[in-house]
Amino acid sequence: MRRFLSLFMQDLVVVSRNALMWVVVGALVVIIMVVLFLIPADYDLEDTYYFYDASKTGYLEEEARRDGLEDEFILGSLEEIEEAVQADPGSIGIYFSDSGERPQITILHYGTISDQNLNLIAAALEEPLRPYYDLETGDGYRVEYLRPFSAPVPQNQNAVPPLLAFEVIVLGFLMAAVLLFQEKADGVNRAYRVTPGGTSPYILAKGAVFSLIGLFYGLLMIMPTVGVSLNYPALILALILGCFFYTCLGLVVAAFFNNISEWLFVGIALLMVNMTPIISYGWPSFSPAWITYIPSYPIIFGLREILFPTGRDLTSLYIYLAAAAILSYLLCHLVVHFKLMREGR
Amino acid sequence: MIEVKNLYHDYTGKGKYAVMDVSFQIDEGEIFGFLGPSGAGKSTVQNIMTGLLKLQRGEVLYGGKKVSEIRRAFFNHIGVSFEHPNLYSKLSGLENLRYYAGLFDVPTRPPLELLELVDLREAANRKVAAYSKGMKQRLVFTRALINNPGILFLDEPTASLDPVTAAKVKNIILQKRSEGATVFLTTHNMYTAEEICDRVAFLDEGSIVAMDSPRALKLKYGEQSVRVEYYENGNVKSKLYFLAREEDRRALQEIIDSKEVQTLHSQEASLEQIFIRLTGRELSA
Repeated sequence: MRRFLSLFMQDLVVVSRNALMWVVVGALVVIIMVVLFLIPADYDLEDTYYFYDASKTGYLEEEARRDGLEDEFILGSLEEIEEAVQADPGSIGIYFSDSGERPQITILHYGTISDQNLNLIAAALEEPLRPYYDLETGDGYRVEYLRPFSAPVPQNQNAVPPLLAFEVIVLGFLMAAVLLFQEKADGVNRAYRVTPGGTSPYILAKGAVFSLIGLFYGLLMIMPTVGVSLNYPALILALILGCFFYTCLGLVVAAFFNNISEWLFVGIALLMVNMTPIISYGWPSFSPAWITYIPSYPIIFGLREILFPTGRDLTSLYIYLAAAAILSYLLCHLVVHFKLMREGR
Repeated sequence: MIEVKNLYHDYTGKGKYAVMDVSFQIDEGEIFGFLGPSGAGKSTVQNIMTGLLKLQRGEVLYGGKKVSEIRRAFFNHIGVSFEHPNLYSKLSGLENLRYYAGLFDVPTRPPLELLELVDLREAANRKVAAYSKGMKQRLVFTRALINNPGILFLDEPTASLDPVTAAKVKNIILQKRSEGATVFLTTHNMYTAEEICDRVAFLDEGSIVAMDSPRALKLKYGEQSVRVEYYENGNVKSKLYFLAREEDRRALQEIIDSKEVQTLHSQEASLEQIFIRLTGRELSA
């Protein structure tokens, strides 16, 4: 324990004197300002729809009005829709007619809508017409809710889970590399190797330092942005396990390089790959299998659940984080032992 | 007792040995000097003995126990001072010693007391990055003493030190010997070796060429010599002549007859001269 504490204090002091820590403090202030003052709590992301119901019954127009569509978006001819869509390339025109046996819906747009979204729009339009036209019940689609219903999260607060996952938790990945390269430049590992120190306290001390820094960093970010009414034990456990996991990964990668310049390309590439689940966070329907294998994927959604609970069980998140922390530690032990503690042997 | 038997080391793996068939033994409480020029293999031998380098061929035994069988606890009883100061540059001298002390399972010496010994007390709270090379050297030396080691490995401990500080370091080494510590001293400084070593080994191109006490080596290989300083083309030049050699005597006479001699000193052979005689190379090369 004495050895671990000595290493812990040593690493903590060395990190606190690294200029990068001031960058981290600066980033924290900027993040808080951006979340509180730059990102609005709510903004309209809905598309503009123009309707023209050319049917005799006027069923769709009736449904649209019932749905709250204002008069200015209900037009009188196909030409008017074409003009409106031309004037606003982001808008979508809906032309409905039932001259024949089957009702017909024409969607006018500028080609910027994906096939999946077109299908969703078509399905949404079909649904209210079913009772009137005896359409077959929804064989072509099904509705699946990606998360349980819950109170809507303000847009600015919604940005906090990705910031925690890609700024706070990965801090250990970057800083462990910086610390390791500083040690390599100073040559102190040779001195450490002629002490009874050993590999485990060396890794655990660094893991503890960056877990502690990550924890404070995360809490200082969350309190002013999300508030203080949170499940703190759940949050603290997730931050500690996540930071420890990424610190071990950071040591594993950095052990193969001699300085930050050599590491930069691989390190930044890995960090970028690690960030790709942010796409799924923004567009939950995009979640191919490969993206779910990236460690940050369950972490970012787990953090969202902790900060904005919907009633989902967090056990699987903790099992995942604990397993990741243990496995990364074992891998780190192997790499550090053979790459750093036995260098030249 | 430390025994090194038939040690070989090849960095390249192509049969180009940096250390070849090196054997010696060091008694408890002895200061054993390992002398040789840069690249002779001195640090390689020390690194194998401390476990920093893998033992490829030969044997290193501590009290009859093989170095390959030694466990981490062994490091509680040795102290290693490196040739190139390896310290946390962002920590102060005091912090470096304090945190290093925390790595051992045995009682350690107070860091400030050690810093005082080598005149670093005033610089204790200054970051190591601001230390001079000599200050770093002294700090590395004191770090090797922090766990009261029974065996000390010192690689060029007086390098970059002024004569007064070097004398202090030598006194500390002698003090450690008087307390029963065994010292393995690696150096190319013949004066340091001559002053404090009980026995020395000359290492050249990876092999030991001679090994004995400094006095015995002088008796065996030493020759009376004369160092002469003279003017030539406006510059002062210095040359060493061995009186036992006919050609040296003739050359000395020629200098006396033809040049403006500034100083003329007869002297007993030094370890450096013996090394030159045995290897044809200078220790400082």
